[in-house]
Amino acid sequence: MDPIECIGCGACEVVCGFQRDVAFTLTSSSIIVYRAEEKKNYFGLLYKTKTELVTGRPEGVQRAKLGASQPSGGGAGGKEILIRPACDECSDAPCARICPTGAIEMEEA
Amino acid sequence: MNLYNENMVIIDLDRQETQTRELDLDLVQERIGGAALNQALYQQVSAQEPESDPIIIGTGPLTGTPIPGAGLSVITAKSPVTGQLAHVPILQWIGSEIKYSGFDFIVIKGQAENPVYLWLHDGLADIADAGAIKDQDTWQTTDWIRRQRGDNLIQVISTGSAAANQSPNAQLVLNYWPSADHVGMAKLLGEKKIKAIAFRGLGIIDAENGESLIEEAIQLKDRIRKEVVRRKAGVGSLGPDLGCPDLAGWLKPLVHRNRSCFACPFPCLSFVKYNESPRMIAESEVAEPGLLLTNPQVVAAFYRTGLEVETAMRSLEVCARLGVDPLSAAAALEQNRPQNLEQAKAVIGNLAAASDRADAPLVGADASPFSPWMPNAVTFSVNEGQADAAAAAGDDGKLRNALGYTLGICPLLLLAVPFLDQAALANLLSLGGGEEIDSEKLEEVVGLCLD
Repeated sequence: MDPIECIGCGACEVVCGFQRDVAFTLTSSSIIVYRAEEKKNYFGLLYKTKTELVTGRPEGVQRAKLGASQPSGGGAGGKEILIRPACDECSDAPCARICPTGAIEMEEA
Repeated sequence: MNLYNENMVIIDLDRQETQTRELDLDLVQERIGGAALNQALYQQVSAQEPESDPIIIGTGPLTGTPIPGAGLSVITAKSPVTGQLAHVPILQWIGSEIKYSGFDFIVIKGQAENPVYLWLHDGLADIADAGAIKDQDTWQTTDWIRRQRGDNLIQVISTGSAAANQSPNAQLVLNYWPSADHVGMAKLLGEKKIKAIAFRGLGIIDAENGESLIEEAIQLKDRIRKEVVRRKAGVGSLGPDLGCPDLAGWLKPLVHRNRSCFACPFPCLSFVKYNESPRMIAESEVAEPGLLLTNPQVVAAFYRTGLEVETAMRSLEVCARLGVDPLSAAAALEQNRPQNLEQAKAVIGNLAAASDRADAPLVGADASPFSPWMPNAVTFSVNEGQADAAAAAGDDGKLRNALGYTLGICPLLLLAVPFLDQAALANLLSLGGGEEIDSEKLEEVVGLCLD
């Protein structure tokens, strides 16, 4: 994940949601564009795996084990990722494929 | 129905009532959506109730999908400035949120007795008291609604003092940022005593061949990034097509990060910071560090005022807070030649209270029903600075506008991407909607907007 390259389009959220609900929705993705600080133009990515919460701040990426104390900040807009399902690690990674800037890339396990 | 909620709402401000209805699917078959369908609804309501002066807000069938640029909704009404039916695009993340809030089309008629704001959320439409925010600027209004309703992701079409004064220089503001309203839609909201319209929802949009639509979206995005956008970013990249070759250079000292509207691979929105260093990437304590530049013609107009860039941007922020059309402001600033920011603020403040429209030559210049917010062509995808392409795009630009406004795709992206043509758009519509639509039918429908 390279959050400084993110342009906040949200296409990753939509296609991830489709994998779950077979419909276009922003409520069930494992990756969220953090955009709750609009007046500050502070935006990045939040991503949940089976074991980790990955906070993609524009200044750098932080990883925390789920259940451990979470990275601070983000306010109410950041907490939503905690109740989302964990990433299914789709083999074709539509989130990475639809990202226009390479802010999200699929890594080989 | 695929790609729609099948839901619309009639908001009657005279009676303080809202009525949710099923979407007329025959009308969708006939008009597809967006501006073309808005226009039909406007004509229906006006014929039945001429005094109601309706405002129609509509989504396109592709709005809210991951197709590149599919974040557009449209406001349609009779402009109090031009006297003609006009369509204004609603972009950023607001256009898509309208559909995700559970409504495909919204009809607003009549006039409230006291200031109200409309709150559309998860298929529910409320007329809420705006007494607490009636005198607040647009930034305070959006902040208040988000706090009041407990969600920072609520999307707001807001108005400021210019609309409250029913000035013809009033402009709608999208959350905090200038919109593409250059025809006084905000004045119309002011007349109806609508302070703001807020949207939020956990919507779900069905598609017939959703997986195929996603594959098409990915391939389009790849081709757009490789052949069109490449590494171009920010409103400054449109400078040559706006007649301001050095626009990017003028803005550069203040530009923080560029971003895009919903589902768009071209980040043409530029955030400028003047209350802290634009190199500040981490989150700071400064609550309002600057401004998002959302309208290319507005930025070009402010460039041409001759103001130093920081003064120009701070003046544009004043326009956004007061809900004053920046094209009116730029024309007034060019005429008055303010020497400093305080003088510029006074000029803009006068416009918010004025009953006459400041000279803004783009409005109604070609009698187009569409907003004049874009350049006439986007030539960086063709040949760098090729002026002939811009001239050739004159008529093509109107059709591209009509396509975008009907389907729910940003017309600026359509202007920049020639291979997203009628046949490609008809194919996307057929994939998502599940019913075959050919490019001839598409052209026939969008042509209705041009009549």
